[in-house]
Amino acid sequence: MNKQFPTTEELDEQERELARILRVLPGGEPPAELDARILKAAGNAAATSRRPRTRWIASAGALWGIGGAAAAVLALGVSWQLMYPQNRSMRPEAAPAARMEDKAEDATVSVELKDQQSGESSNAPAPSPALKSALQEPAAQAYSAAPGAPPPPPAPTTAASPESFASEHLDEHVTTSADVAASADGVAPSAAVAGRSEAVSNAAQAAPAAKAAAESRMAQRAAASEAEATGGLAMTPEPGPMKPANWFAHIRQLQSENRSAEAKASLLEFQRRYPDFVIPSDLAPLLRE
Amino acid sequence: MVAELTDEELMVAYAAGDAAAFETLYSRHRGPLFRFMLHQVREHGTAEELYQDVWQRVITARERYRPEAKFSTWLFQIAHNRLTDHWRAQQHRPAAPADAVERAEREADPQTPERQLSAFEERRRLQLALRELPADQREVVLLRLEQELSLEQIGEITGVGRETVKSRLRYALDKLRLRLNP
Repeated sequence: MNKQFPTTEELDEQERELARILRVLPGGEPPAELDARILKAAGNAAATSRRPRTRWIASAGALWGIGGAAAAVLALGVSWQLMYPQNRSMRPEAAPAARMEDKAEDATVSVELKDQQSGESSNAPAPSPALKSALQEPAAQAYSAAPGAPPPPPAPTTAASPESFASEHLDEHVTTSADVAASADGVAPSAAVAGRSEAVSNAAQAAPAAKAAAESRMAQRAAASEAEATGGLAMTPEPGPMKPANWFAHIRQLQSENRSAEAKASLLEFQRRYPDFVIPSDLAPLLRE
Repeated sequence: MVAELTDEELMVAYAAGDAAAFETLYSRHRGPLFRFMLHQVREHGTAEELYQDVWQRVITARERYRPEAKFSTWLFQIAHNRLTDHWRAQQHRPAAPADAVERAEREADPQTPERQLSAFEERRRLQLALRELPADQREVVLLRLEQELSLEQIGEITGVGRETVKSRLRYALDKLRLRLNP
């Protein structure tokens, strides 16, 4: 929020003289009734704002709470996918745009959470069992607290092996939240690849638990916490509209891979979808290429 | 406290549902934005309509706003887009008369005893000169003189490169100076 923008260039002497005259030209104020109309519209919109009206200077604790809850929901979905891969066949080929928006938003939250976690433990050894348990706790709470959550179905007896599922699952995606996280952090793409391998390995570790019906919930939690630790890697971002921040990260990644034409095409598409959105200054030159 | 916040902080606050933040933000930009619109379209009613549309777009896009650029840059980019739509709908973009420079030169009477322009005369001449500028040049010069934006920022708003902005600005300033200092 305290981002520093480039300072304005000062006017030279001649420009200042013209600006002085310009400022005293008549008709410089909108009429009061127009002000009132706009402020009323703004107030109405704020009242029906999608986000809850809270103190907007959110404390770090509140941010952690929101991030944790989102990650818990994400982790629950991931564990569900890992345990019951046959559910994927029920997914429609083309999901509604609103659903994709939600997924993109989840991915953003996941990236933010990963940033926060990596800030603390990027160079730290693997989390201790106690820490793992602590990380699992929010997922468990969210699961048990979710009012509309369906009861877990019985464990499949002929489920695909987690290794093959995880590989298939990862190969079909062009962009994962780990890619976005890697890009956002300025980490080389190899880090994202390493993250994928870790997810495959994690999925393999989760398999025995998945097979035991009596321990299904425990396995879900374990898989969820692993997925959380890898930035929600097993998420399935289907092709569709991305949130601007993710989109920019994607374009930057294309640039870093010298795929300028694709980067430009992607940026043009972004402009088409978000005509009011300011293009970051580092990407703007693409449009002029 | 709200008054001490940056534009970007206020916009984020508004997106989170704080209407008071919008009021402060609005009060900071209402004058400059309205003048920008009025100088562009000249007609008061049209300027009011476009001005209201711009703020409506800000309100509508509040949840998509990300403080990755200055708020004013974002605001004037919306204004630029709205003006572009307006010209397109009108299928008319006011261009400078072909003989604008000659007319300016004719109007300037070097024999007048009143070499020092009165404030009124200065304003009148500047107003005329602005009207005679091509819309592209007028937009750039208004963003530069009124908002004191950098060439890069103007480029972001208008969607052209820095050199294009520089060129438009130079032509526009030359014409304005010619009008004021014949």
